[in-house]
Amino acid sequence: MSVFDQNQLSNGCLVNLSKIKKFKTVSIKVFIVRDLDERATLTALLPKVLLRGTANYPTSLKFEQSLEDNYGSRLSARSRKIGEKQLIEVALHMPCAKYLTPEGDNQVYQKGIALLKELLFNPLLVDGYFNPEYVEQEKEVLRREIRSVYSDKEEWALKRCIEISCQDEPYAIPAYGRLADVDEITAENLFNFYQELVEAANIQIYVVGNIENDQIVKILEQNLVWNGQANGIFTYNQPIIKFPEKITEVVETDRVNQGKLAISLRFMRDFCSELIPAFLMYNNILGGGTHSKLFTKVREKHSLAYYVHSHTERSKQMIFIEAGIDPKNYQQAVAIIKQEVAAIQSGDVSQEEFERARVSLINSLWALQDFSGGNIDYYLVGLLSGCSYSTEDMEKYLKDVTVAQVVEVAQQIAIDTIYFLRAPKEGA
Amino acid sequence: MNYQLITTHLRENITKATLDNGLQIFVHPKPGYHSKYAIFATKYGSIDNDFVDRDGLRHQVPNGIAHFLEHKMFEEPEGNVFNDFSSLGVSVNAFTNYNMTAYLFSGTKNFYPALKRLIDFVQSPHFTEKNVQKEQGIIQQEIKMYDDHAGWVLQRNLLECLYREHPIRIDIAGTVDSIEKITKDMLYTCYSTFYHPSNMVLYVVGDLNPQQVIEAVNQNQLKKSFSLQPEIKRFYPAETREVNCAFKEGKMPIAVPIMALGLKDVPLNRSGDSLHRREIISNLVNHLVLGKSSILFNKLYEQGLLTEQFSIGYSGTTNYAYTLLGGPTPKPNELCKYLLEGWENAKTRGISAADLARAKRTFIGLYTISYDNLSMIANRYISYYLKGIDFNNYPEIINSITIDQVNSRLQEINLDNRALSVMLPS
Repeated sequence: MSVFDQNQLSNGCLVNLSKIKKFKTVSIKVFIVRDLDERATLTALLPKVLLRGTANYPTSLKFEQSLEDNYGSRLSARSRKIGEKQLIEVALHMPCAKYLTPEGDNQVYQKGIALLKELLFNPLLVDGYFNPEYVEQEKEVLRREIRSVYSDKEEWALKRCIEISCQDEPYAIPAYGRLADVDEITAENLFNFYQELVEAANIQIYVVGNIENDQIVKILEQNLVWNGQANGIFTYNQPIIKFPEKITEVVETDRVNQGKLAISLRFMRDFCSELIPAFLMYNNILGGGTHSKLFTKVREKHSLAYYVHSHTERSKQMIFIEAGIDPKNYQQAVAIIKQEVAAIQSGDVSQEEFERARVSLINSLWALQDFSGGNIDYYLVGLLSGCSYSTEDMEKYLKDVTVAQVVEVAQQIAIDTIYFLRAPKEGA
Repeated sequence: MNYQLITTHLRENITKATLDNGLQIFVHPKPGYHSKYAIFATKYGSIDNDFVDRDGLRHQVPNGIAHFLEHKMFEEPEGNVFNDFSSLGVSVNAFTNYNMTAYLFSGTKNFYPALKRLIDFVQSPHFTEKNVQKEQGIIQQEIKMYDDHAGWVLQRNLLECLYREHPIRIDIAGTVDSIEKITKDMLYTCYSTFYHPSNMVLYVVGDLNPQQVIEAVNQNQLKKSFSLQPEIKRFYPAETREVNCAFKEGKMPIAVPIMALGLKDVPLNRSGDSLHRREIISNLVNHLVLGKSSILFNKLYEQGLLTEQFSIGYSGTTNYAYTLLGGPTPKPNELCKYLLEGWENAKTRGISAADLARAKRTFIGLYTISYDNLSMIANRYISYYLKGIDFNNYPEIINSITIDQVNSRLQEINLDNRALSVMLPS
């Protein structure tokens, strides 16, 4: 059973509500879901421009002060990427009314949702389009944000690894879009894009907190008047998965103190394969924590790294390994990582390793339910993949996974790209 | 052992207990949460480099030793303790900052065995020449990782400028050279001085029964013997009011310049509510002068001189205090000039009662929201506790702050005792 109740609003919107008594925050999230494509940069810029001003609150200053008056409510809007979908996530966080005054100040929701409505549906317009001054300023902010990834070397290495691994796939497009596409955006084409989204895009609305469902539904109904498309969910396009024929190895140089290693692996099954729980187990055994093969061998046994771990991109059927190492140990570190990948393929998984991975995954699964954001994301990823598992079901599936299934997964996994960012060789 | 039940404004019920060996325990029940979180911390951070041990001998130890010791606690004769926690399905971690070292775990199952394991490994040091050497390789990589984080280097440069003598100017992890000087005997000296239960605190939060937790910890402690601990003498060098240097510039392979402006403050020589009050007033002033709802922030944002990532924060203990503001900017020196002008203008204009009321409302809202994050609740409480502050007094203090206090604090800020740290793309 899902933790979310679906409520159909009279205006056609579908709202997913979860009343959770333990929370002192009430969170409302609206997702505008799109396929990741050549309009990614427009999608990335839009939330920034919306945040700059609305018809009733024409400056960020006025808008921010109104949020503060409403007990420091936070309203954010940003572009995200989950698999090959791009999402504009608009999030409103308000303190729970029950704790604000002895009698409970219910106005807090009314005011907060009114501000959410302003942001989504009542942008500041100049001559029928967005304020061109704001658009130009936010274009510059976006340009700087895109360039800034270079400042974080770990993130940069991972980004390069993704670009090389997925060069002709939508997944190579970052959530913040592409620098080359920023210039051609205008107040006019951005506004047309916005209108198109409001009319036709796929919308998901979530509410989590210690709320009275009827009361919130009523306020939402009065404010979030949306299109008829809001009901459905457009799941991922099933990609054609190519087994990498050989490993691509790329070494690039920059003035870094430590070498940054990023390795991608591909899993040859679809999103809803019955092997998904075993895929999660595989990753956890390989690099999912201090008990993993990579941590034990690369860090504890050979002292080659401080950080070494792997994470799954379940919505793209990939795994990424990351480590920070001294360039002189590059060959040794890669050899150990390849050995550990091969070890699982040949069935070298001890009962101890296996059980540790299992309890670790079940632990994180439940821990996610303690965060309203984690709660929503888990549910949303399920919807986007076209196969949802409740927390209870996923726990059960994880308990049923066998070593044989993990080995089966391992045999469906291959290293795609090994990327290494290092300082130039001295004297070279 | 004695007990005390505390109920906060947000209807959170916290039980406090003091064991006979001096260990302080806080149990904070959170019904309905799946995770349980425990943090066990000692009042011993990177700045505690000069102290008198239990035998009355004074020691000056290499920089980075508190952090090194934290790493080494994870090793036992039978191997490392990570695997034991993994088998229990909980994740264990630790961190060291300027003022404390903390060991923690969080998990949804096996709370009691994990709690026992946590206390036991922190109370059983095992250092050998060989395992000290092994750790040097790992920590070197940790130091090199931080050396690639421009924001980290920027802040360290700033603190080196703000402080001439105080060890807050030194990196928490030390340097590649300083950690090479660490020996197993030094680790034992630091351990026996700072890891006595009377210098430590345990905070536990989750869907738990306080009596049961306290009883479990008490039983565990009764099996161990601790000799009486004299009060720990720590020495910090005398620090001038003036900064060490006004400007430091570096170059790194980054895309956009970053800057940090530091305002050196005179530390308050009183702990408890007075210190807490000063911090809250400073945060209110900072928020009102330069928060996202301020005219100054919005003006500089529109000019493209700062971004959403711009931040401002106050740090203060009884032996150092400063305000740090900064973020990415295309023009660091220009931004610095406008920030200082903005501060001067704010001092001339003063803060209005209406603006203060709005800021207080915001702070109370954020305080309410913050109680949904278990690890944050526990970490925050103990970091204040070890500074001598009871964080549960926050709402009372904030409600009692007057506009006059805020305006006089604003006037106290001395813009001359400042330093600017800049990192440019290379």
